[in-house]
Amino acid sequence: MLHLSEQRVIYGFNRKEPAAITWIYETYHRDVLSIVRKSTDGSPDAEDLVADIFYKLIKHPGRFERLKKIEYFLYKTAKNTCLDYLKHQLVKKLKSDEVEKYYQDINERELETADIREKFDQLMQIASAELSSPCKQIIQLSYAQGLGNREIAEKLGLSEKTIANLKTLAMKTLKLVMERPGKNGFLMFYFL
Amino acid sequence: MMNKSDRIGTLLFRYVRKELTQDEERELTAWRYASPENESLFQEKTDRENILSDLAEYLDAKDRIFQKVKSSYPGPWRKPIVDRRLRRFQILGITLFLMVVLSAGLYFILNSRKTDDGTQPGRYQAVLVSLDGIPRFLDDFHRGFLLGSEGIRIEKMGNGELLYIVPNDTHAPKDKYIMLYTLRGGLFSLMLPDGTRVWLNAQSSIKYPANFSQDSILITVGGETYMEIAQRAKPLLRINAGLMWIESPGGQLNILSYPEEPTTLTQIAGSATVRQTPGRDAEPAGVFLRPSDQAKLVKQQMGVNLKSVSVPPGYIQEILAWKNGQIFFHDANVQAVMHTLSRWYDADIFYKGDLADQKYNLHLPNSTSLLLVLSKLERQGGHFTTQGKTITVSK
Repeated sequence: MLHLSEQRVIYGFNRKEPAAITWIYETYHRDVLSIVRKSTDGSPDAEDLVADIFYKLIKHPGRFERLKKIEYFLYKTAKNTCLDYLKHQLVKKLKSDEVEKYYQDINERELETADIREKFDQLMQIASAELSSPCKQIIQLSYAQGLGNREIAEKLGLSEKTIANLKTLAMKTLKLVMERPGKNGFLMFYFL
Repeated sequence: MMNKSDRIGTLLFRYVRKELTQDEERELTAWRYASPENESLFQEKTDRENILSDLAEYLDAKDRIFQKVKSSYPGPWRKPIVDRRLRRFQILGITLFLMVVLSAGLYFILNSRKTDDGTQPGRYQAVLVSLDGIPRFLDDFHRGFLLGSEGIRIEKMGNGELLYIVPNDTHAPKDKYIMLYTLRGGLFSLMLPDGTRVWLNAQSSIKYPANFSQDSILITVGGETYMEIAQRAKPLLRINAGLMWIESPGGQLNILSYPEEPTTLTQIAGSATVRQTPGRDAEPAGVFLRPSDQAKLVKQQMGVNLKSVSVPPGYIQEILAWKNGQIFFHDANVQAVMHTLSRWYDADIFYKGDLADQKYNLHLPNSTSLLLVLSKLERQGGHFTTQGKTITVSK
């Protein structure tokens, strides 16, 4: 990810520079997606809603003076977008009391498990920001699309050996194969 | 303090990275044993394949969403390409513009050096300032255009001389004047409505009334002019040249009134009466001139003095040489020669040495190049060098 100062990001974002918009997306998409998934109870339309929220942010004609304002705008828009979506869904499918009932059925325990998952995923996703683009691409191709090393090699125009090396590098970057806790451990507290 | 869910999530994350302290490991183990659901969650989350496929799913979703954002609002991503193209066109345009301007400038510089290197003799050209105050450049090149659009009639004589036929504007106020002047390196001639012909040497001027239908015509001249005044009883022609007032019923005369030389009137034919410009006193007595007489205003300590002398016949040719297309010097000092050359060749004179005693004789057509003129002068003494439009005179 690009390292930009807040001032630079705000300036670039107000001028609708792609680099600044990308930075904003990279920084806030996880939180927005998490909010949307929670509010819509894991609706399959979550991704579209997130896209819509960012679309509203970029299209916003006003200027933002600080990053906090963009944050606030995103969270407010996410909330409103989800509310609109839910209202629409309710009219379409469910009666409101059925929704109430659904929420009451989810027990405390399940909620706690979901929170643990979310925290773990969040940390892992933050850690994944350190991955290089080819490493990310290989993870996506092999785990999300289920391609083998040979297929990935063909698709990217790289040798199978390079793919294997990049996979190892991805593991190392995520620190999933480290034998001993490194001194980098404390760095993670920085993220928390 | 983070809540319990966040705490466990963090411990799981640090577990897979093998970053747990012993106390933390004990805390996580206690949680695992608290319930079978916890243990299964632990197994699920710490499985490497699961981690990677969750991560891949997350990265895929992230990219998908961003692609959706981009496709629903492509502006920012398309703009820089357009911008860059536009900028490339702007740079191309600026480059072309500069190239055109620079090459045009270079062309004019080179061209002006080629033609105006200070060695070219003068030609027939003048500037006419009519009642509207707009200066019009009169020369052979503009002749047809002026005739077509401005109604200015310029005749070209057999010897290449240009003659401007002055129209008589009987509707013009009687106190309005028209001015015609020549620059350095210029020569011109005109015919006034009463038939009087006037030649202007370089750096000379004439001012005449727009309306010639009046009892007394006043003409003001500067520089060097030659006039052939039509015979007349009326209107009375009064000519003002510097501090000299001339009245003539007809005849030919040459008036020299450059500021650097004494005002001189040479009567060639006919007659004239010359006076000093009337001062506070009564009009001074006039001097009557006959052919070959010359009147000179000589500056003295007590103002100016009008003197009249008779010119030997041979000198008349020298005086009228400029009008007849010649460069003619007879026993002339270097200053007089250089004054003439400076006017005809549009050159500046720079004196480095004193050639006061040197006398020069020269007789050449005025189309002679300056370099030839100077080389002929050098044979008689002194040293002349040219650089651009400057003549340097040295011993």
